[in-house]
Amino acid sequence: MKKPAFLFIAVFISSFLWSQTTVKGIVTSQNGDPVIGANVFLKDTYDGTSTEVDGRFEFTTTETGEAILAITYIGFKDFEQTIHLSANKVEVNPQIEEIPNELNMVVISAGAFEASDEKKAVMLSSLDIVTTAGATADIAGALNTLPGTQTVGEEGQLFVRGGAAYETRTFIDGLFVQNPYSSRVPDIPARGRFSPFLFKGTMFSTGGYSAEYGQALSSALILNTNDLAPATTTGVSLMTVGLGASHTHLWNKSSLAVSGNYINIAPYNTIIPQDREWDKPYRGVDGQIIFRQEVSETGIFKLNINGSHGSLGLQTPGFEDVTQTNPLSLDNNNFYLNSSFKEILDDHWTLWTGISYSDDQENINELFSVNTNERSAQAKVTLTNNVSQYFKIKFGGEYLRNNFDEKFISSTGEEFTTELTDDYGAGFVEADIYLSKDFVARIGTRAEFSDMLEKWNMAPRISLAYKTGEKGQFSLAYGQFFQTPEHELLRFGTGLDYEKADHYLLNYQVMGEKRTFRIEGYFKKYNNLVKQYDEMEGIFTNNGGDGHARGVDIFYRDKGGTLKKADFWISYSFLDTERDWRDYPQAATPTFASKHNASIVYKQWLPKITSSIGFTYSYASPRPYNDPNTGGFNDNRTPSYHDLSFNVSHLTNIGRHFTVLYASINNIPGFDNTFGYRYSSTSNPDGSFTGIPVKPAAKRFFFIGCFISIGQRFSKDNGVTSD
Amino acid sequence: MKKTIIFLLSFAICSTTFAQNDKYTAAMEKAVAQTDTARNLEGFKAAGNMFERIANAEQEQWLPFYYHAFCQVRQAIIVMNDGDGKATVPYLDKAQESIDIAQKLSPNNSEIVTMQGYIYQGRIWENPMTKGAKYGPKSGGVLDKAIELNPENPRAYYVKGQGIFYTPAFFGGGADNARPLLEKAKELYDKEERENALSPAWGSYYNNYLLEEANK
Repeated sequence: MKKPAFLFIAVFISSFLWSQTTVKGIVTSQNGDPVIGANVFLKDTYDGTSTEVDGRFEFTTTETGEAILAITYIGFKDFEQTIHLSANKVEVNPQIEEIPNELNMVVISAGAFEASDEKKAVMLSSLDIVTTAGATADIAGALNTLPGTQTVGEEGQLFVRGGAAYETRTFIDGLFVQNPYSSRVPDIPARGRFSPFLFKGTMFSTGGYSAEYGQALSSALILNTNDLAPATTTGVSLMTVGLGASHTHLWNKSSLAVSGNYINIAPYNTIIPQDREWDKPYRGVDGQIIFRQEVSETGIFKLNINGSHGSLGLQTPGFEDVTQTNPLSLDNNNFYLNSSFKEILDDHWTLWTGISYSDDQENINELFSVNTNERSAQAKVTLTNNVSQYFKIKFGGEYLRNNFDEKFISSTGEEFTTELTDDYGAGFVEADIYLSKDFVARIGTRAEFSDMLEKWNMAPRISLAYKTGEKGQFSLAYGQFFQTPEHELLRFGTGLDYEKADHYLLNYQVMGEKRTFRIEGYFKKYNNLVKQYDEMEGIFTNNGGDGHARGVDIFYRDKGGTLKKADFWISYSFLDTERDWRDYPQAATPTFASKHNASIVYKQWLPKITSSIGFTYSYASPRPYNDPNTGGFNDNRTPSYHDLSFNVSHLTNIGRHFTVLYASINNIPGFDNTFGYRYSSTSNPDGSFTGIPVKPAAKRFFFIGCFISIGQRFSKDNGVTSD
Repeated sequence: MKKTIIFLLSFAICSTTFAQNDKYTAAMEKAVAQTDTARNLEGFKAAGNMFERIANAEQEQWLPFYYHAFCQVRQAIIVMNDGDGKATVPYLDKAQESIDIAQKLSPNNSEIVTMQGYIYQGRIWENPMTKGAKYGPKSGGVLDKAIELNPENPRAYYVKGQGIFYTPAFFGGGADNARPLLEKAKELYDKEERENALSPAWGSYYNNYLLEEANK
């Protein structure tokens, strides 16, 4: 009796020791590739292993009965499966699923050049903008080195894919900007009113953009302001064209920045000879207040206020006789307020609200005088619901009131006044639908109503993107875009409708860590463009115009991928466009459209001398102009445009204060550029018309600036430190 | 005979509990050895997997979670050195999950707080231009706390010194500012005695390397 009992125990123990089960199999991802190094184990036990190079795993366990096989792997969802450990051998071949994330998910890329510090698609940061030679720290200037833009040297604004300047709209934090550029007089380029340093992200869309934005036929420039200021600082700037000062204070959850500039180009003009005759070189003051308050972990309130005054006077060619000059003077006051509030309500909902107010007064005197006052007030709300990782919906509405008052007194004393008021409302809805992590569709629509036009419009937009590999993807977009005609066209009578454009885009891009390549083909069809007829009885307008633009944009950027500490990009745009609009007698290529545009931007950081240098070369093929002495319309061509610009910045200390010394020269070789020709409106006795070339105010532009940061020091080893 | 059976049974029961402890120690020793000899992504991945399996079976021990986080940070460094800053993100996310559990199991532990500082430092590698301003000071603050919790912890000084060493001169880093911390770490490493085979002991090799670089 004793022996069998002992034997029984011995057998029991040994069976306990020897009843091992081997668990084996292959782990693959959803596309069938073996997963190497995945952790395969039985839950709540020590038993498990890592997969081999072919995805195989094999381990033994003394566990019996039901067990949970768990698999974990970086970038993949945790996997669990119940298995039965009854036999000697259990074979399982699990398939694990990749977690969709910002890194591996497809993004809409048709039309858009995203430039932000946070997003993956970093194309141009604010630092890139200020260090781009030739751009003179102007946002539009830097964006002009991207494909899809046309160089129009006498305007200084963005001209996108055969569109006129007014077809590009600027938005700050989602809100409309009535006067993004300084006021301008003929042939003197405008500058953007906003410093690139105000923004953490720039999205420059050259077509096919989101249904959230409207009233822009060609392009949307979407600027997102910075959040809380990073530190308390005081800055002083001394420039060849003026002075500036700023102070930023950072508290625990809020920050306030106050800054002001005084600009006077008179001293510069006395040193550098100007081809234009200035009676009163540009003089201006501007001020900004920027306030931020973090209202919770996730909520932020933003307030931006900008005010400026500027005036200038110069001799301009006469309208009737271009060989005579007349004094022209301009005064401008501009005020812009933009405020927004954003809060993440819960796991799914995000609320955003904003208001803006603009007031712009302009007074131009020549032989005639024009007094203009334009005011806009806007309110906007959007709600976003992240339903799941694969489905997101955004919708919202906005209201905008615009008043435009103009008094024109002609050289003979006749008075014309224009008073226009528009109440405009719009709503949009847009959904991002991921069919997989490699395929996304963005489908949206926008409805608008203008009380002034008494017309509705409905603008559908759709974008598709498909990821072909780790870095490459195709995008396709279609959209309809409407824009209320410009004020100067609305004063001649009522009955006008929206101008309209249809965009078709096809894009391919490869985006690596250091190199980006993209190519985009597009076709844009214009309808309902405003035509203007000068009749004996007066000026008449209708929506009888149309046009098209088609072309290819190519972009390559290399950020340290080939040359050490060097960053360069190359852009090329081909454009074929014609339109029959305004007072054109027939369809023709407009004067602002050049067939070929190219830029090469090169930047090099030199650590030994703590300096950065940059070169930009820009080329634009000949532009059309209309010579009334020849038969056709707009069939003459200017010479082609060339520019080679240089800049350098050097980091150092003046006294005990961190200082950036900056210098730039535009058009170093002194290329003799001609933007077009201006003709007298009255003919000479022999019937011919006299013309003069339109040229830059000076061949080259020099800029030297010194930006001092009080209370901060710079050293080669330790960089910028605060006292 | 009955006594013998009872004795045998009680022995069997005891031995299973002892075995459980031995199993933990044995598995940990193997995994720590794997970590010490790991030189590449696969090596740290295998070691990390071992710690993850142990942590899965021993959910009250902080060390497996701590070492698991360490292996993730080492993998993040390797992918970063391969030039892919973005690829560090999932490793560091995983490291953060583990260190959060470790912090709960053993609050105010200088080693765990140091690892948290190391993870924050790692967040900078994703994109130094944009993440540096946020995570540089955050990491520094956490490491100061680790030093406060145990002024004799060489790893806290080393990780802090390393962060400063690799911070571009432009943002207040550099060799000169890093040197005193690395020297202090070396002094502590030299006299450090491992409590047992499982207690954290990493870092002196890279600390020496950085100190050499800093003295160049």
